[in-house]
Amino acid sequence: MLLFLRDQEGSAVIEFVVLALPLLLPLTVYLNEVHQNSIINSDLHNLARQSARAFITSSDDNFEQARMQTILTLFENKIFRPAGIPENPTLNIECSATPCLTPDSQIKVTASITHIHENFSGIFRFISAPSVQFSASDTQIVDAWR
Amino acid sequence: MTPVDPKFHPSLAGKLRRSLLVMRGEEGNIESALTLIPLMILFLSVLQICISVYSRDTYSQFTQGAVAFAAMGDGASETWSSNPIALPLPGGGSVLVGQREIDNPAITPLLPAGDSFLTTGIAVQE
Repeated sequence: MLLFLRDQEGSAVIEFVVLALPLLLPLTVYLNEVHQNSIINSDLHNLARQSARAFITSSDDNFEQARMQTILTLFENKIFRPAGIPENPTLNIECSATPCLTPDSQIKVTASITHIHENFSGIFRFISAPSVQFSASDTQIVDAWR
Repeated sequence: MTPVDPKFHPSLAGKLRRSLLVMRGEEGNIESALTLIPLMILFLSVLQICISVYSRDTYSQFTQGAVAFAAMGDGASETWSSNPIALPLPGGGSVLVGQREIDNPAITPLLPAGDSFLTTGIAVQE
């Protein structure tokens, strides 16, 4: 065994298999996770901003929820699903005045999502990550002259 | 290990043994090729993934910015894969959906067709 370990024949192939693959393959997995998290953060912030825009540009109190639901459905179908994010985001609205569409009042929309990672199995089962909660918010001001 | 003359092993087992000897040998360029070529392919593949990840993040922001600009009234100067679509919102107004197809060059031989992806931007029209 000791002789085998000290033997340098075929060491290049062994170095490639033992060193290069275990170092570079986890790097690709890590890069993919960073990318996914970055995309979710960016898209959530955009969702919060566009939902808030749809909310404050509503002509009537009756249409606020329907407008935001339209934006939410669009983001789910056009942005999140194609990016491989099956979870549905949720929206939370906070108004600084009642009713919400009072001129000069602030509308804060918070979008949040819980992303569940697909964990590996078999010999890669040690690469597992828990679910991550993402949230982003945007504040818009209702037009003073509406 | 005693060197084996491949001439005396014309059978399949002999060919396998000869290949094994070539792989284990450290003479000439064989060892370099065995390491450098797969390592270069692996390096280029990881680099391709890095570029793909970075460009997906960046171009999705560019597309969103372009759609937001178009939603403010001036989208004529932008280039689109297909013209942005204005979808009606309940209670009046519309939301603009624009898409761009991005083509990245392939730098790894494992991806000969290149890296092509679609970015989408959504913005409420002012």
